Amino acid sequence: MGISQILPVFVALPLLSSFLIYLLGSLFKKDKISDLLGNLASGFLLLFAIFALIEVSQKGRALYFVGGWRPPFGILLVLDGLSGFMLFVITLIAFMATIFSINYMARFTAKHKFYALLFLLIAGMIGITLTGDLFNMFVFIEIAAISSYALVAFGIEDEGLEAAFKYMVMGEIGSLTILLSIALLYSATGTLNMADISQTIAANGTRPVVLFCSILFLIGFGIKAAIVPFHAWLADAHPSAPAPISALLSGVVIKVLGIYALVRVFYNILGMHPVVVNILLFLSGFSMLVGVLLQLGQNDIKRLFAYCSVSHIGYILLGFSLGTPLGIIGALFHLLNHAVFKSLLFLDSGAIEYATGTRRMENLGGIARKMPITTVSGFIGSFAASGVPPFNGFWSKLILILAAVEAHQYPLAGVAGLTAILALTSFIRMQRRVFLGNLPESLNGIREVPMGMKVPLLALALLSILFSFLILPGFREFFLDLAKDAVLIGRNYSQTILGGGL
Amino acid sequence: MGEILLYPILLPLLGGIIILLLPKKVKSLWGIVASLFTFLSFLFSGLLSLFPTLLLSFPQIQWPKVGWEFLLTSEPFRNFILLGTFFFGFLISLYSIRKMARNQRLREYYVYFLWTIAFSGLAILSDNFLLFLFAWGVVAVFLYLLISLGKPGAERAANKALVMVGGSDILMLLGVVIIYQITGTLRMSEIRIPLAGGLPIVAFLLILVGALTKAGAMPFHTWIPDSAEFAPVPVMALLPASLDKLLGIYLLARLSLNLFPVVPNSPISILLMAIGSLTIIAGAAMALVQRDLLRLLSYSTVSQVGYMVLGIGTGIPVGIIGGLFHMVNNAIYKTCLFLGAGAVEERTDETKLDKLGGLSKEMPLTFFAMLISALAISGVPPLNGFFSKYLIYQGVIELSQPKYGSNWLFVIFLVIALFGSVLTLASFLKVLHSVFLGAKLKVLRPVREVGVSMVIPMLLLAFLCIIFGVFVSLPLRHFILPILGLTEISAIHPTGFWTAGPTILIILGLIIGFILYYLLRPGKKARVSEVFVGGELISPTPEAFVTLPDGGQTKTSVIDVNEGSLPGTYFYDSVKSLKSINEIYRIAENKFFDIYDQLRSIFSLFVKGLVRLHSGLLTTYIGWLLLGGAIILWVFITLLLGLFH
Repeated sequence: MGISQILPVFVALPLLSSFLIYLLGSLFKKDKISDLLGNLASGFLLLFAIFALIEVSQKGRALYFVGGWRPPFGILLVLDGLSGFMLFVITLIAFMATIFSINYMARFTAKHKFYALLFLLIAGMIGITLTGDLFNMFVFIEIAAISSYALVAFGIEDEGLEAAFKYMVMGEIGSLTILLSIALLYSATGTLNMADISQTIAANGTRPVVLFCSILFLIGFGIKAAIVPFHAWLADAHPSAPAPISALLSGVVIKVLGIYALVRVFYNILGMHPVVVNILLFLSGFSMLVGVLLQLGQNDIKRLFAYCSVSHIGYILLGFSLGTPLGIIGALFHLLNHAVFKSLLFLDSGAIEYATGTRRMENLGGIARKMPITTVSGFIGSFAASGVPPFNGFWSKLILILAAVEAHQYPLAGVAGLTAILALTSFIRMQRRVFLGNLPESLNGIREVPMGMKVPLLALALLSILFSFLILPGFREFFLDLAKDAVLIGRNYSQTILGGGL
Repeated sequence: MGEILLYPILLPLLGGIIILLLPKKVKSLWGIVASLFTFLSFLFSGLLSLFPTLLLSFPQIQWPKVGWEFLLTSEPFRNFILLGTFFFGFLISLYSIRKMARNQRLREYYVYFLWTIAFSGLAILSDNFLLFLFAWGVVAVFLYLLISLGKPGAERAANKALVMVGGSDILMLLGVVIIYQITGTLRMSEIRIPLAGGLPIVAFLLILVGALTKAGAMPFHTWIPDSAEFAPVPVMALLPASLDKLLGIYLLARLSLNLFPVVPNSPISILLMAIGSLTIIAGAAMALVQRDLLRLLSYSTVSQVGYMVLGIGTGIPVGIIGGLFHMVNNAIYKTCLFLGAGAVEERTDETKLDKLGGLSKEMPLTFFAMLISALAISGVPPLNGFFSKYLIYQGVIELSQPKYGSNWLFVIFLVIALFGSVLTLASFLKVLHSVFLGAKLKVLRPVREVGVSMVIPMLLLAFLCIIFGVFVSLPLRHFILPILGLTEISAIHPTGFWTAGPTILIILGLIIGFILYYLLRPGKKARVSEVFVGGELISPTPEAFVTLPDGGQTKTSVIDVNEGSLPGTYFYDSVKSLKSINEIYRIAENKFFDIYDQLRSIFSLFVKGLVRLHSGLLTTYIGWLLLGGAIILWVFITLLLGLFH
């Protein structure tokens, strides 16, 4: 029995967990049930994702035909190197978030609703990565997006509600743009199956409508990924959400809904038109710089991290836009690393908020003495985000800069370097104002966070160091090369699915 | 056999781990463990000199596409720097046993200390540029952590240090990436790129910034004085004084000798010499007017780096040898000076020059060590500083010869260097007077000499100043000349050390320095008067006016006046009061020349502007979104139409 037959479990399990937790939670009103079920489910998903990755590395991509309908009529689930990689990232961060939620969300009511929404989000994201059908991808995007709007507002306070509203409006503009594009593409090609669309376009040549759809996709996914100038919602939404959700949002959601979808559509379906490439290159440089400049001006630590995400999405986009093998490896590596250290930072900010009640740097300081674990993981997270050795961020930034220079994109390499210096400045300053220095009177009674919160912090911190070793040949092939090849296979993707020539 | 290369790196790492595990109850053991491990590493690095051509590589973990491999190599230059690193590491850890004993975060100190040395060793022995960058970057992180262990307020200094050093590291990374693009290899021993054309020059400059910031040359030096005030003294002795110089100048030498060979009299060579000269004079000038002993020493450190850059910048063997020798000598006497300052701080809890004085009787050994070091740094023969300055001056003079293009620019550099020497001597006479000579201030309680574990490193270093001076051919022939592949001094300088030119310059510098000191010292010529304001005598006040020999007036505290002595710092206030020089000092103190603060102000403008744009109004955001989308669409269409033409 190969993994092909059990692919739907990836989507079914989180959906099932969501409904089950909601049901049992409403019936029995005990948080422990939701905690237990939630963590079991996410832990199992992580193991399953690792298993899937091993399967792909040994046997190549796997297909599942939903309902037995063959493509191009039915919905197809595809597990290739790229999907496997994304699944790993999603489930890893989701698992860390659920462990963290045990203690962190105890202060909120309706924990079962939280887990229910969380698993809907996870189901949506997994669906996006696994599906081989364009409209199906849109459906999952919406599932994920709408759950995330609700999760941002979960605390039902002014800040969260306002942020969720803005996020929802802008997110839906993005979704509708994507839907429009899909509709146009459907009318142009007559099919919704990704591989089939790809073959149809290749056969008929690149007509203007396809190019127009490229732009619409760029805008739509750009909004989802928070690429500048579509990024403004992120700085309001990510800080206002509860910490584990912020971690998921910055760490995974913008990458799956935005970057992954963009890459899948452009590399494997539509093809990377030179003009699109140039636009993307420019946007990546723009995002890197604008993101870090905004980051420098923040006094709220979560907002600082949010703008940092904008900047790093720029880095990831740079790698994918370059299109060279090195560039794509760099982008994928950075995607993974950023997911790890950004969620570490957001969970850390959650820990700080849990203990001190504030996120503003002017009200913090000197908490190193009282909260050693939070401090150490905060230091590791911020060093990793700044690209300081020996942490993972150093290597992925290095590879991206190498790729840029290799492709003769010297100005972009320079921008990447400048951004790194500014990011370092911002993070060192944050460290000084939050962890070092003097403890304000009001914070004298704070204590370290409970074990349930310490575990994900330490685990992610450890991963920030361990993932540096992904540059070594063995690990590199397993994690990165697989995904890179899946991307670079380009429009030949369709051949692996439908078999058949152009 | 190649595994020996790993021992000097792994030993301190292991030492750090052991200290992490040793419980707090035996914390007195920590210092001893640290000293033991650094000593062992020192022995191992000495062992390496017996095997000048070892290589260690782990091909299993290389990544050819990216130019990355784990490659360590031993060769004369590297072995020598490594030896120096562990030598100073050992001395300072010995010193730390007593000096750092009262620090709250002692365990962290020793761990960071040992690991800094371990990673420095990795950087030195590395032959792969990426591995080098990696280790170099980690050292910067530990620098940051070590500085933050100091007095309250150290975080700001640590912050500045990491941003400057880390920022220069990133620029260096860009340079390394460009080198890879040019040559396709990152093996430092194999890279050799002529300095012609845009890309190589850009790469050279980027890496130069990294080296200069680490070593502390202008204009990238401002992190050092700020750290000096707050960081623990052994940290200052370890990093800015010795390790960073060794590493930074090692990189500079590699850069100018091997990676991008610098041709004498070429624009790059002149740039280096200009930077060197500027650093010499500016550093010495800033040192002159400092009131804090540690800050003074740190500016003096900056100034000394100028000599090294000047020497290496000449591109001529005699100059390069001089620069490298100066690197060694500076590490020796500067570390000794910092250790001495630490000893004074240990006993008196004071580093402000105004508040010290007359300690020569009570701390004779410290005084002796600092005296020798001060004389050495000023270039007094027959101590080591004289000889390295000699060689550097000789190098600059030789540039005037026909075979190098008869460039007369050297006169300017020489004059600047000479004046810098003058100021250096004057600064150190001030230090000696303020701290050790003169009358003892009543506020200072009686002190005694510091303990053996602190005295031994100081005396050993002072002793080395003498040995390296009197028996100068020893260090030159065994350590420095082999770097250039030479064996006899005559190879670089036919007549040995007694050519007139440089000797005259140095003696001249000393004489002028003494004259400056003599003219400006206070004491017998000061006239004390009571405060007279608005027709009334106001006394007793905590302050009295004192007339200085040049007619200027300054306030001083009554305690001083009653004791009949003036703190040493008032010496040079008269220098400052000269109109034009005063202006320069004023803007320097307002951080005009501080590249860090200037850049910060520039970027703040952009940042504030952007932050204001993000007002939080949804309609604004959607507006930007639509505008962005429209522009992209427009760009897309125009580019497309362009393609179709």
